[in-house]
Amino acid sequence: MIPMFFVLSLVLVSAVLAVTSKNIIYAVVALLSTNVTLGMAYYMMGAPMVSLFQLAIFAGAVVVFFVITVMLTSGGDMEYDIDPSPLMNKKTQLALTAIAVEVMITAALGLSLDFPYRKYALDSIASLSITVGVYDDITTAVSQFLWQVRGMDLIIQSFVILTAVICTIAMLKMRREDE
Amino acid sequence: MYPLEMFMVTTALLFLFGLVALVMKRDLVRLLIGIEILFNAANLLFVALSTQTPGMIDPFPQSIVMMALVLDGTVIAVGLALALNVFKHYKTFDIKKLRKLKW
Repeated sequence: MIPMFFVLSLVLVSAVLAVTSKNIIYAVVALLSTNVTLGMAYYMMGAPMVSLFQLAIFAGAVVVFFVITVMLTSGGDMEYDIDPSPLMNKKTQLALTAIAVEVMITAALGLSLDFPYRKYALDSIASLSITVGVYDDITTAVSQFLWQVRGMDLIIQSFVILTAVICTIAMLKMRREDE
Repeated sequence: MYPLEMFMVTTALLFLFGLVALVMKRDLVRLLIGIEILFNAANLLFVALSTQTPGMIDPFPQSIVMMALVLDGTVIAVGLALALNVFKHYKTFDIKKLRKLKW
């Protein structure tokens, strides 16, 4: 439990750095650290496939996209060009802080309740669940589940990704034509 | 099996950080970083709930999170392409200066 606590603390610290860093490159590196530590947490929790996807997509591709965007624009010191005053006025910030505190208090109170997730998991999904054991079993079970139960979702998702790729290519091509 | 409370607190804090980035920052790239932190918070809670049955692992939330990860990557990629176009036209990432988009 202590290693997981340590990993989750690293996730939180690097997320704070990603939000508060002045230099955008440092923020992107902190985001990379968040994603890598989250991938470690997923692996420790018994989700190796999710960990693999997290490391490949979020810690790999998305961070590279961020770095390329920063390189193609102003080279890492965008924040200095921007007026440091925050976007919203004091009253809006106060109201949003109050909402956030209220949500946190509600969540803290909710933690004391006994959620029936275990009952639902044991009753309805027990036939699909697999016992904790070798990670190969989990990987095989998740892959089979994806293709046998969520096959239609995968096909729809592939169309969504194709649309997004076409949109991105069109936008970047438009940019080149303007030049 | 790790205690769920640990993950719920981490998720709440990650969600709060993402929300703070969305509200307080004016840089388009930083807004996308905040959105990605929000995605991470949601995915972490999904995976944590999938491992809460003693001795068992539920593959359903894991498959959902895998699909969500791919779609999140797509969303961020499209957002960054939009940000590049915005920078090309307006020479800034400051969303306060992009008021020309308003009606």
